[in-house]
Amino acid sequence: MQGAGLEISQDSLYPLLRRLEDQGILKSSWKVEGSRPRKYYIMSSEGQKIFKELREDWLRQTLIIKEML
Amino acid sequence: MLMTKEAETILQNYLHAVERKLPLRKRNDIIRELHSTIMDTLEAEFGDEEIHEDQMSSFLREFGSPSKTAAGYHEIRPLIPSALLPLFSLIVTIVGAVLTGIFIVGIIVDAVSGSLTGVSFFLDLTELFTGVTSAFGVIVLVFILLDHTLKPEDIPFSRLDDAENWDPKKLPKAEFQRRPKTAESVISIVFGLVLIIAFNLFAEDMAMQWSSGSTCVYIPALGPGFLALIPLLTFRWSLGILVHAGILLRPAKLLWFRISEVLLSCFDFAIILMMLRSEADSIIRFDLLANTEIGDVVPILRWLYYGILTLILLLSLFEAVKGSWNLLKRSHDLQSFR
Repeated sequence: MQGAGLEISQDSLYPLLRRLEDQGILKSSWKVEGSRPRKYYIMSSEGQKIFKELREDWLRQTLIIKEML
Repeated sequence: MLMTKEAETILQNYLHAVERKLPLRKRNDIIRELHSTIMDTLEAEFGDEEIHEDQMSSFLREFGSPSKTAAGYHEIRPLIPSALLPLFSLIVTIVGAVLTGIFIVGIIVDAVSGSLTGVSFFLDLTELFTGVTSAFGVIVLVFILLDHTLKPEDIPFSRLDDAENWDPKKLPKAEFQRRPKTAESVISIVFGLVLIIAFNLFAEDMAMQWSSGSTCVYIPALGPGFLALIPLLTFRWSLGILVHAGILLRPAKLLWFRISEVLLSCFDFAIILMMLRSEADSIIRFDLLANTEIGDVVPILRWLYYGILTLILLLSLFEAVKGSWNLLKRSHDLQSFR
């Protein structure tokens, strides 16, 4: 995200990931890779459905704004 | 990744400070994730370089204060905001102390005037409970109103945001790393010795004694059940003395001290359970008291005896479980993160 120019602090990101997990949008699992365990988040099937809908909505909105501008 | 022992202690204290402010649900998982994230960030920032106390301290200052880090995980706004908590605690303590004081004075007045009975005692206790709960409710309501009408900085004793003023080196030590103070260990040793001497040399002399008219009433306090337990209790107190002497002489052996503490709590639990399983009269001679002029209060004293023993039993169980949990957590953390 940082590479794409979207700055988000860690104290905002991780609580947000947890909230999305609580809502069933994300799923998490601990994996031991290297010297210590790390938590990985992936989108659930419900999350993918919501992501698709939101993406389409976002693109539609940006198109409208672009035309307005 | 390498870090000095001091840097690791600062990190542990920081995680402990965050943990205390987190919601109970998923607390362990959040701390595990936070630790993993911090280690990844440290690795990216310092690489193979050994991290020192000052570097860890400035890294954590930049990472965010424990309050700020923990705040993100709270989904529901607390009823009393943290800025008002010091004033809230102060007022609740004062009101609680005043009400308890009134209750104690009432009991003393009743006892002196001779109108104190078991029933009146419980009625007073119920009144105290009602008074404390209603006062607490009113204070909470007042603070909710204050929160909605005033700015926290306008209220005396309010805690200002610690995001800029906090120092990672001054955070309270994590439970596991908290060493007992020298005075604490010395008091434990002296207290243990006094108990051993008192119960082994003067157990038969421990008695309840008072004057009744022209006669002096003398009733031994300890029953045969308690006298039979004295060797076991002596063994327990001796172990306590050895453990505290050990940590005084070898302060670095904190892990052994924590393990010993858990074992001693288990020992306490077993002894108290043995006392609870015995008849109350075989431990304390309530049966002899029942035949005296204060015989009416003997049922209350028996109730108090069982109540106090149950409370100690629960406390020792709590200590044993808490100590075991801290040891397991510590061992898990060491395996996971080192």
